[in-house]
Amino acid sequence: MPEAQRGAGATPDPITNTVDLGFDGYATPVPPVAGWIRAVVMLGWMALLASIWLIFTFPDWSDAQVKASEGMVLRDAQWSSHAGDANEQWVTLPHRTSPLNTPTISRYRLAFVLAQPLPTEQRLGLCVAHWALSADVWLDGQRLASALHGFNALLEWNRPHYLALPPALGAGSHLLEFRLQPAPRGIDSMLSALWLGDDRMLRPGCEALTARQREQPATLRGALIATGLLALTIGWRLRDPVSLWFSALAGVWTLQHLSVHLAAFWGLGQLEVASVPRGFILGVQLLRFGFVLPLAVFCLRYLGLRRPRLERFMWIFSGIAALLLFVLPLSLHWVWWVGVGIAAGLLLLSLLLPLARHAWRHGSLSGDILLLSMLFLEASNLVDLLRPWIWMPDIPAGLAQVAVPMIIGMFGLLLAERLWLLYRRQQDAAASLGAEVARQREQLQQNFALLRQQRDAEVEADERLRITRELHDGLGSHLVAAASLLASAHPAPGERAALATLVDQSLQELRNALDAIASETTDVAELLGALRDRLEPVLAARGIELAWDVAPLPGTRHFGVAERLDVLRIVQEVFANILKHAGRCRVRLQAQPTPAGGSLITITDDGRGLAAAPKEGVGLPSMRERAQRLGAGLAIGPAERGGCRVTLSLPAPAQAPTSTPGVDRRKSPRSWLARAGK
Amino acid sequence: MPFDLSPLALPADAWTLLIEDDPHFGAWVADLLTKDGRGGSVRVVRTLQAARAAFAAGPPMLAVIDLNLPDGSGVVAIRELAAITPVATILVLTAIDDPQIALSAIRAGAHGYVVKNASAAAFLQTIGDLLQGGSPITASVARLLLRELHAPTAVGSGALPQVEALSERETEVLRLLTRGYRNKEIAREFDLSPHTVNAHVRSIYQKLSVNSRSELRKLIGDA
Repeated sequence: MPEAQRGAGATPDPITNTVDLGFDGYATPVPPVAGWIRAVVMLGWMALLASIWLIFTFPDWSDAQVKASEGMVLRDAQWSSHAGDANEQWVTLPHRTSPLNTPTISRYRLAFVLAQPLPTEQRLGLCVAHWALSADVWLDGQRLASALHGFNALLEWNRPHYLALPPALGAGSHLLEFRLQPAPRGIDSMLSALWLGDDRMLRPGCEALTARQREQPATLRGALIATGLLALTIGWRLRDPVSLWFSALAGVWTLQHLSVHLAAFWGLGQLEVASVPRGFILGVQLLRFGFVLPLAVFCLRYLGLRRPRLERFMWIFSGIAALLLFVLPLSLHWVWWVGVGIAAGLLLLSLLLPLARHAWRHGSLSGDILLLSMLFLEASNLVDLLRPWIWMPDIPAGLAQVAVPMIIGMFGLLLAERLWLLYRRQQDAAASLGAEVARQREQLQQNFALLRQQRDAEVEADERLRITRELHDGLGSHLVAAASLLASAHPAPGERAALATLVDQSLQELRNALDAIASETTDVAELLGALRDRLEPVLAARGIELAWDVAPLPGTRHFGVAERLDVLRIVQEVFANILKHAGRCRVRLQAQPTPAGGSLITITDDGRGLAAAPKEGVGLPSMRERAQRLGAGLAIGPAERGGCRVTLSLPAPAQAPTSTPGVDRRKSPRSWLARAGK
Repeated sequence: MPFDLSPLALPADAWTLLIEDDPHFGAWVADLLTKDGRGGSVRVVRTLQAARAAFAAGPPMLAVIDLNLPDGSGVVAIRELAAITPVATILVLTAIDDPQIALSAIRAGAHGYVVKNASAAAFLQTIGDLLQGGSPITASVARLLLRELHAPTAVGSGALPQVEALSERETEVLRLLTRGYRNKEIAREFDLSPHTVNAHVRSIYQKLSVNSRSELRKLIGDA
């Protein structure tokens, strides 16, 4: 398999919070296990199987077996296919007739001889190792009352069964006769060997065997139902097809075990076997091999083949095997054996080979154990099928029944592995998710830093442009004027003073620009303070008195160099106008915080007033433009006592178009905020 | 006019040292000082070397020092002069006033600084203030002083040990100075005499100077 396909399909779904384990065989992410560990685990597993088998087979059975076999074994019988058929043959028990023949009554006659009459307190009993289906038992022409009848006999079929013979049997030869009713089509009539012995010895042993044969399936049923429900729950919650199919498998097995009991429950028990509805018989037979398909799907899902053609072949093979087993009669006819052989071969091919290949390639423990269990299951089923023929009277329990707890154990291990896998997946997913988040965060930070750098650069360039323009327009024009004055051939005496003023003004421009650039302050009050130091000598020289009233003002962290320069230039322009037009006067600069969180700067003079100023000079539009950039209000009007009043109201940081509270304007410039901050 | 001063009793040997490398500006200032006469005789030197030679003769009453000298920083001259004599009044001249440079001059022991300007009136007013015991200070320098002295740890470079912290009143004075208030206005605001405010400013200067001496190495780095 290419690496890309491996481990794909197991991504946690964050929305439904369920995990598709994607436990798909060749793509399984289970780490390979060292060979010796696998060997140890497999040996351990086999030891466990052996123990289970022994536990289910021997204890308390051996004692019963000993007791049951106290008597004599009756093996020779005279058999005829019809009642009153003179054409009798000697047969050795166990004996079975072919179901391919027309259904008839099978009659077995066994003789035994008592050397002396039994004492009245002593009784003889008969233990049938494997009870035949629906048999009548006669002794010396008398029908024994304890014979089982009808469909209920199915419950006891193939189990040890005890029959007490009438007391006070006389000496001499006695004749036992078994009349086997015709079995349903497809099932052989059969009779196993019999033990004849003392009632006190034989009865407890035989009944103990029977009880064990009843209890074992009940225990297995319980375990099967529990495991099936567990698998169903886990399969449902984790959306795990393997578990779901295992639960289907367990369901079929359980149904098979329960089918006869269900029949008894539904009142079919008293019906003669021959008159049981054919559908029911078919159902039972279907259930008997119905596990093959869920088992095949279970294995296929476990393997998780990604090759449709191979999967299709496996489906076809196991399907044919199941069909064969279903349609074939339970008979010793060669057709049956060929059919069973083909079915077993197909199952071997379709399930066990891929499992073996998978276990070999991936070295997963669950794969090993699954393979081993399947081998055992198939082998035990085969042995069970052979049992009626080979007759193993010493082993009354079916091997397939032993295979069931083993399969349950196998699934338990598989489940543990899957849960562990799920846990690990989730851990891995959480870890990788965490790493991804960290990576994204870092990326985001990098991008953010980059973006900010770009914005900073952009705004810096913008500010540089504006400052350059300021210097060019202000300082440059003054210097040009000064140069032209110097260049004039005969400077008039008054022009020397003008020259000095021009140079001073140039210096002033330069200092203002430097103030705005170099100053670290963003406090308008401090800017005004610095401006006063610049202005006062000039004003004093013109005889203009300056009254100063600057209260602490709210911070303007959003101010950059350009904004500082704007404020300075507006105020400076007001004073330039005063110097030009107001004449000798008194000026009052007042700066107050406003209730809204902004600042109000008022400059009032009592000079010649607005009338003296030109209608709209160059200064006013420039001031308005700057105020607009600042988002500030600018009002120019007459003062109460003549003169002029200029009001500049700076907005609160939060209301300013350029601002966001708490963000350093210098690091997060306006254009950046305007685009990214919203 | 502000430089209309009450006459001082000038010692006979009082003289003023002007350290200025620009001959034109030096001549202009020397002319102003000589005409004013409050600083006694005026002697102009152009280099640090020459200034040292001049100190050796005896401390001047007033020293007007340009910070940009051909053979070093005026700050060195200030520090050396301040070390020789505590009585000399030291005025710093700067072409483009960078408050940081002004601050380092004040740390070294300057009493005031003035921006080079063509305005004779402003210059002479500063000289007058100084000689009268005032400490001319600009809003920008006040702002830096406030930062340096009031919250030394808040300023990255100003890791001054708080040898002498500002008093509450001194801090208030500095606050008003940063907003552009003049000493007289501050006096009116706090109902103090202008002399008291002057004394506060001098004290602030002195604290910076004292503090900075304990940080000599840093100061040399600044200079």
